[in-house]
Amino acid sequence: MSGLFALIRLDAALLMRRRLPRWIAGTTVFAAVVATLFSGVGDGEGYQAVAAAARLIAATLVGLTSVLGAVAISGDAASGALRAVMVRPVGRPAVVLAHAITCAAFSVALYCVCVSIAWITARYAFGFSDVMYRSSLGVFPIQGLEEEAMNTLQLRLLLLALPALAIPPLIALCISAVTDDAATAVVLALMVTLGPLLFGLITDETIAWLFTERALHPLNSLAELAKGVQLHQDVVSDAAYTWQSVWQPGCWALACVAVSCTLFRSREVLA
Amino acid sequence: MLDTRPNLADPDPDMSNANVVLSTLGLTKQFGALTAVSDASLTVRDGDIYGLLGLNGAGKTTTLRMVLGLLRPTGGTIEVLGRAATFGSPRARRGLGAFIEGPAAFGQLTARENLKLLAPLGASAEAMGTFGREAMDHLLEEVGLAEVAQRRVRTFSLGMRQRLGIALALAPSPQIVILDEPTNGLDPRGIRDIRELILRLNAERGLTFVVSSHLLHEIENLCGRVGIMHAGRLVDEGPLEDLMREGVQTLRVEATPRDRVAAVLNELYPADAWREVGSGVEVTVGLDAAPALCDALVGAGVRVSAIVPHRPSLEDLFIARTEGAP
Repeated sequence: MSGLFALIRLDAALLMRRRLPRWIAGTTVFAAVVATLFSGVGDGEGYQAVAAAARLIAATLVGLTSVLGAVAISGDAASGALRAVMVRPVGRPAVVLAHAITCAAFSVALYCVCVSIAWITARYAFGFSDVMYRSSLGVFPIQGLEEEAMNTLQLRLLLLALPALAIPPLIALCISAVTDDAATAVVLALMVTLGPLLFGLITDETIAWLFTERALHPLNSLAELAKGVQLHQDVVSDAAYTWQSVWQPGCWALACVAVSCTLFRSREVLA
Repeated sequence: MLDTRPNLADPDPDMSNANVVLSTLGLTKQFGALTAVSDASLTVRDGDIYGLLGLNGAGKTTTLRMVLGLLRPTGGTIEVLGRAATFGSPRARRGLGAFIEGPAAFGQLTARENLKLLAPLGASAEAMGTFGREAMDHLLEEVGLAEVAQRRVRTFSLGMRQRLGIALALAPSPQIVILDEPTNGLDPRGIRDIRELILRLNAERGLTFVVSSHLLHEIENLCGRVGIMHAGRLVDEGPLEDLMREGVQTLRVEATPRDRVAAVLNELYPADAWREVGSGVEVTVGLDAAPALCDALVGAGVRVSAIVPHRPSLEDLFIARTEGAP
């Protein structure tokens, strides 16, 4: 069994057993259901409910999975459990990579589960029907997207947010790789990952290459479309837009893993 | 108790480097201005039970941490099983099993799960091939955890965690096992069990052990070779018996009348070679001086009740080596 596979198996087992991942999963699922049910939409407007829930799920995941990444190494270091791994002949990059893979997979899987729950809830609570574009006066709706087309677009936009949601725990892992103090790691990770979200909220500025923008832009577009706001559909349907949603998070992920490995490579295990 | 202490004396000093499995040369570690370990050169041979002795803060654990790659040495080299073990080279440390500075395991997992998930880390396929469920059960039984194997480790007492730590060090099949204060937190029976386990594994499987402790009695019962650390330096190293032989040897003499005994001793030895202790006197001479001393005392009309050779204990040796050291 390769060292990396054995480490992933260990990290996955710990994810299943620890309370923090359960709390994160529980909180996010709860947020998904509440956001869907209390989205204030009417019959047939399930798309809007799903979009509202997806945005809340994404924001929740950005914060909570960064906590998971922040304690991935520092938490084990603080409890002394990291020694159990590090006294074995495993490569330090493998230790980091295993944490990165499990944390990112957890974030992605949780997003998929929560969005599915939100979709099912919306389906039964509100149902889906054709989206009507609203005129400039907002009074006379005109035929916009048919249900079938909207379903395809919804799935596509929900999936486009996925790669970027793997990034917050990886950014937090960089911090976790340098400190034994889990509390400090969590605070720093929250500042780094939630900072761009808050920046966007306060200034209304968008920085296209930020991972938060890559996660939220498709979901915001979905919300707009679901409300009947006419968007340039071809923009979000464009292959370049899809590619951007993949390669930019990919670069983030590679950079985070490289930085984490470099930082952890020279770190001494003191606790 | 098993009497299988290995390497009580070095049979062939010329072959001293032939079967070295772990060695450090000039190993040094500084934390800022503090020098925790200075120029430590220790040698562990195949089949040794090597005791690393020292007071708290002597540098034992820091030395072992560097050997295990947890700390980066400031200077010096480490060689494990013939391979240079630099910081961050895990493959060079294959064959090492370790339990260092208290038990380290995942509290959320059971004892069995800890073994099952941690043992394969970095282990060769060959080693894992022999470490199946039966071997795991056997190991848990050997360390006395068979009955609690399904319990989560966070519910374990310190002694149980300690036992699990030792089991983890022995899994799957190391050639050298490093145990740092392995009997901390164990009850007297646990201490005996672990001691017998170490002795048995050494005798049956030829495992090499490096045991660090400040419990001199434990080391004396367990180890064939010792290294004594003091203030970050390795002040002495060698077969325990040789080191003890080099220590100060005394004769305890019980005889009357005291004034005549004193007169004979003054005649034979310098004044600082003997002193009154309780009802008798203690004479600092070689043990082979006993017959001559007995003859002299009897010849002077002294009534000799007993002449008892007193060999130094490890404690005496340890005190002698560390008191004078800087």
